[in-house]
Amino acid sequence: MFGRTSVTQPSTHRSGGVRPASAIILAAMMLALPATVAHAGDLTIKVENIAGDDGQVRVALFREGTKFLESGQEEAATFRVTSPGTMNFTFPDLAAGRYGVAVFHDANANGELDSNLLGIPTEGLAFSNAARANFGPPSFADVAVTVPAEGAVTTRAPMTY
Amino acid sequence: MMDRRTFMTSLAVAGLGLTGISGTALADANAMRHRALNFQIGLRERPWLLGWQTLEAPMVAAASNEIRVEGRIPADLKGDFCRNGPAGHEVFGHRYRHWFDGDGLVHRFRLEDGTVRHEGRIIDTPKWRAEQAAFQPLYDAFDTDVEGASVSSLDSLNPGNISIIHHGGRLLALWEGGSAMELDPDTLAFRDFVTLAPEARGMPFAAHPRLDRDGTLWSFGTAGFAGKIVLYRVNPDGSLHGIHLLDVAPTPMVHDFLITERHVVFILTPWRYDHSAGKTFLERHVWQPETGGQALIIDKDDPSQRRIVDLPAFWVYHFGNAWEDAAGIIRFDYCRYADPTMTTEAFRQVMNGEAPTGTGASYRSARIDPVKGRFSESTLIDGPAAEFPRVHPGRIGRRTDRTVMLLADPDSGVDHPLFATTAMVNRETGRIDAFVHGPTEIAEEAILVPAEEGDTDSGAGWVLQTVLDYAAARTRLKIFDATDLSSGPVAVATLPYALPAGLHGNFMKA
Repeated sequence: MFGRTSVTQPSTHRSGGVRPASAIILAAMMLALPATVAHAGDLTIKVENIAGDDGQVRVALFREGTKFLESGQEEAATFRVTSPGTMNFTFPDLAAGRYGVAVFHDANANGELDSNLLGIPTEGLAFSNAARANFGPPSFADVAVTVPAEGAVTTRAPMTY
Repeated sequence: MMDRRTFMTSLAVAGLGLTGISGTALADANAMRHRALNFQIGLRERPWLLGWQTLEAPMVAAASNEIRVEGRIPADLKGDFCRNGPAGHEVFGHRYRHWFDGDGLVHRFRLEDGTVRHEGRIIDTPKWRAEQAAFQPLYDAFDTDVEGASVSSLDSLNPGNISIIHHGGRLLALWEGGSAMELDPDTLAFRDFVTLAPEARGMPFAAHPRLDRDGTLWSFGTAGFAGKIVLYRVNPDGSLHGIHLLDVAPTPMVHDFLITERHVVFILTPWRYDHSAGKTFLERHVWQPETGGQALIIDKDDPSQRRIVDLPAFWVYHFGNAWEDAAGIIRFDYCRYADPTMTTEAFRQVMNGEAPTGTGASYRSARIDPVKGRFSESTLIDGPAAEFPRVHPGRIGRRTDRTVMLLADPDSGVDHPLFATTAMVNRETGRIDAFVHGPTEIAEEAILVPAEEGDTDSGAGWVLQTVLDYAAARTRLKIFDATDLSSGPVAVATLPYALPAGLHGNFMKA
């Protein structure tokens, strides 16, 4: 349901002794690919102020270092049928790090954020950290939420129309 | 009297680059609260600032027996005189910086069988409702940077506060930075934003659409952030005929435009949008007189056909009317400002309790030869201030000789520096038929209501004029014979309350 696409569980824990050669390789991997070995946390996005029950609410998760809001750069994405008011979305087992979340109310359920001829979005938008669009989307720094190695984080994302 | 002298002195020195002390933006909530105090202090010294006092009550109403009528309301003048203008100047003690910021008050004088009654309300836009629920301002305005606010959509901050029209069976309140909004024709309550097409949702729609002879409504919207002007052609039934995007970058502020029988004409002044120039929409407009202006002349039937004629540098809010003569010369009348200081100074100062400075407009008759690319004009009324030109509403785009307008004449003997005189100017004969209101009456826009149906232009009809008597704290409707303003109104209806100085209105015949 949560459509995790690229976060994989670290599979480095093994029973028994770790041979020195493997330990060296493991250390090298930790330096090169910290995401695959860090512990996991949960990120919950509390989407507020959802108007009406049309269509779907779509949520995209971006990890620091990727191109925020660029198609194909999502760490994960998900959607659910709209329910008015507040909806919670949780991305479980995320590697520790900084993440940004963009949400839109796909009222006509066409899978796209519609905009008018001037390029202004015409469907509701929300961002993690309660960041808001202001003549353009917020920056990654505005939306960034730090997910710890252990435990859960909740961020508010009030919808604006 | 001192205030008027100050005003005149300021007019004289405006060209030297004098700027108002309120020109500095203080963007936090304390600045908005401070401004509310400044205004109350200023109001004691300058009672005419009552025109910019916030309207506390969200609704007003007066039955016919609560409205004192002197003279006789013409029995055949039947219909609704609707007006609009910023009136919610403060949000829970937070006062906006500019006259054009506040929530719109729509109100209606209903004239029937020689009687009048009145109703009005602050439009309950989504913006207004959200702020009422939060007990604080939440959204940026035309020239107020509200702390913590952001712009997610233009209609999220739409106060619908500039004009009101009836078209396609709908009563529409108009801003110019967002959509037109439909009102309930009985209660004047907000119904919804008008979406002419899905791809036009939430786009700017001007406060000065022009009604063509066949009922087509021409309008536009400026989008400086996108470098575009949007041209709308709306069918008589209110449905969309077409939208065209015009590349005009950098985009000037455009408040009004013109149509003729064949053309749409935009006067593009050198007051241009630069997103980096400031925090508010107004601050983001940069006056660049050295580059001059342009007339953009567009073929109504094929908007890709355009001509551009260079113009001198001036600022304009309002045009009377335009038409093409037999030689193809486009003729129009308008109120020309040397610069936009009235907007950047005076309309901030009155909000801060100060006397206004800024350069007023002169009334001019202009010609553009689209083929030779020439512009020429003559001044019909020189300053200090002529504004709110209105013509026969059934003859937009065709020849009209008479324009009714307001004048601020320092020699008229009134006790305030604001508009005090209603004048009917006949450009053909050169005759000016004028009436000076009472010494404590501030005149708002006057409109012309022709006596005949259709587009006959005999000159017969009425001029409807609202004034605010700040000494009596009463708003009045004055009805004049359009052929004889100087004899005074044939009827004066005095409301049992005062309304803030508004902007534009229209008459909808019953």
